[in-house]
Amino acid sequence: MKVGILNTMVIILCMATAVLKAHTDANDANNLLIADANNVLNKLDTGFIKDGKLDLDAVIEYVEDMYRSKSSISQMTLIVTKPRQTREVAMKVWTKGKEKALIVIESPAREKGTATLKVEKNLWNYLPRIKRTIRIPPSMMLASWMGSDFTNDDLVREASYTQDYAYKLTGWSNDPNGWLVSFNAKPDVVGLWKRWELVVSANGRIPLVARYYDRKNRLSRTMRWSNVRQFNGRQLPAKMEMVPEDKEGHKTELVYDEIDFDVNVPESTFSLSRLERKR
Amino acid sequence: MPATTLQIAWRNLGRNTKRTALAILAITVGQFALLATDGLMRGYADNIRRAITGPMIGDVQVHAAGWRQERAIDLVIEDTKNVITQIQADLSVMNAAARIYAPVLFAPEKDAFVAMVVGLQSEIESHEWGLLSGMTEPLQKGKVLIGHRLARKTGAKVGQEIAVVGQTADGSLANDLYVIQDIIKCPVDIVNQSGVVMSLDDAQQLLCMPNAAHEIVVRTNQSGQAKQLCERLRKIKGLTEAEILTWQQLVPELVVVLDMSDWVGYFVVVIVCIAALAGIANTLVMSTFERMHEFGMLLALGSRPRRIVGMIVYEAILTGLLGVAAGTLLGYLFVWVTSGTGIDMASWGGSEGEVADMAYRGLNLPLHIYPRLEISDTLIGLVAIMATSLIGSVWPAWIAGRLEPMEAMRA
Repeated sequence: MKVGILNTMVIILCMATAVLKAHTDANDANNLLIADANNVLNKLDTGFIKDGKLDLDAVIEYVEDMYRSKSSISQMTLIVTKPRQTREVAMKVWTKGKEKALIVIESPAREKGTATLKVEKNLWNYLPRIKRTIRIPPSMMLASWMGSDFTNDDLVREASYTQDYAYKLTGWSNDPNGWLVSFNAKPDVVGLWKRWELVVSANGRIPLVARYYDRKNRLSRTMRWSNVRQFNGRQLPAKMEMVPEDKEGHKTELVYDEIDFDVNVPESTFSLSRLERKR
Repeated sequence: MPATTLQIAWRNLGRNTKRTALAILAITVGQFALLATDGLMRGYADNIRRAITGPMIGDVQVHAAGWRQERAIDLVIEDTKNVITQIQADLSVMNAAARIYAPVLFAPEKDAFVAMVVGLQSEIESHEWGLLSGMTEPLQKGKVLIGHRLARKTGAKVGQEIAVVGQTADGSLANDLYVIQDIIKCPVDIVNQSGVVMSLDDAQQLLCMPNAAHEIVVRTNQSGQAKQLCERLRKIKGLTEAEILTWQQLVPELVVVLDMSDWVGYFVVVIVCIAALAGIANTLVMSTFERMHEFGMLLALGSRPRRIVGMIVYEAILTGLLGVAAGTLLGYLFVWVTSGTGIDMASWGGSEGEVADMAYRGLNLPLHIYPRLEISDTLIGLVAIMATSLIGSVWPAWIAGRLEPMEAMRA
């Protein structure tokens, strides 16, 4: 049903852009085309536009739960690039709500079966080679997760951005084009980021860039979303790319291969016994 | 004339024994303070130098270029065995030891703790001033040594099986189980705080870095020649691109501390000289004023002012010499008594034996100091105080030299 609506929207969009194209000067045709296409898209997709204004709360809530929904099962590939090496890890991820997630590595063979369980603010790692489960200490929350540029804290705190930060719509961004939303850490929150900013598409449905600033207000890392495609009826960026500013030649890409939303994920999936189950 | 003058000057010192004794005491205390401070500062500097060139840093260190800045696990010195053999071929090299460092999680039970794997060659590091100095039992395969502070924090016990989880040089997950062989107290604080010490072979296997290491620590038997050794090591095949540094280049701030300890010695010399100057000048001026009548008589009887000036200068020199001799004797006695047992500076701060050292950048700087003196320390004191004595005699000598016999006799 949703796919059908989207197809219709795309056809109308094409027609509208074709009409517009006929009226534009040949020299700035491309620029106008993009700007007007955004306008048309906004008019068509009014989900987050109320009375001509962006419904910021709805946008943030949507972006936060974008890959998750009430529950999900996804297949993804983590590509970690460092100056002297690149590594690919295939993973399967189960989520339920904001607080529960299980990530199991499927390849490379050497790490197959290694699993990370997140329940609320706790993280456990299961290591099949030594058949041990260890709990990640709070002091390691800012350390790298699986050798990537994501931190353990990114896994645990992802759900609490709206609780830990005060956000507001700052204006329109030109790099890239989209709405600029600023998040400032609440005074009583102890965390890595003093502030961060998010650029979302004109219709508020697609995050484009997030820039994270440290306690000294220096740009620390940049996350970019790209390759928007259909996942189980939702238009989502398939690729997230994290680039740390202080590590030259480092980046981490997370590519969603498949996502099934609102599927039945039993509560027992997120138990320590399931974590240690032989896969 | 000088011999008679010297004899008279010597007798004059005994005319007011209390005042002379006080002046000599002031100089004695000064010279003693100078030697005691020099002894302590030399002992302290020795501690720092030994801590640097001993367990942690050695005289020269070799790393892959950029490792010290990045601490990246995959920035390694390749073909370590061959490189070490070539380093040891240098006649000035006492030993060369490879080390591996990697941040890991250390889990005695379910809860994990932040720790650091230190892979090393225990047969070399158990020698004097090695990282495992004094260790008698060799580190066994599959076993680890745990820093005592880490063991206390995590509740780890000898014989317990622990999990070590980290990242390998190729970026994949490193994880293995080890048995705790012993809990160690090491001269390097960072090892006590977070060290999981294992054999180089075990660390290479855990972190997928065969025949590679992050660091080679070189100890030389010609410590003043570290720079020249660096130049020679740079010519070794496999080290042409490596970063090879002397301990002075690795911890320049500690070199400043060492230089500072020399300056403290000079500062004490200045203080002592000021005290001696005041004491000698005071004694001689008082003595001069007291003997105005006598000087007038001597001048009236035909003594030349130069002889009276000479007498006063001799008195100053004799006072200085006696004070320096007594102070030197006491200073050497103090250093001799304390050099055997050492002085526990921590207990002076009221730590009651709980604190034995202080840590700086992972180095333990022992607070138990063994004072030591060099001949130059005594000579500096001798020259400085004799010069001070002469300067101190200028004023009274100047007064005595300008005396009119009649006026002096009326005084």
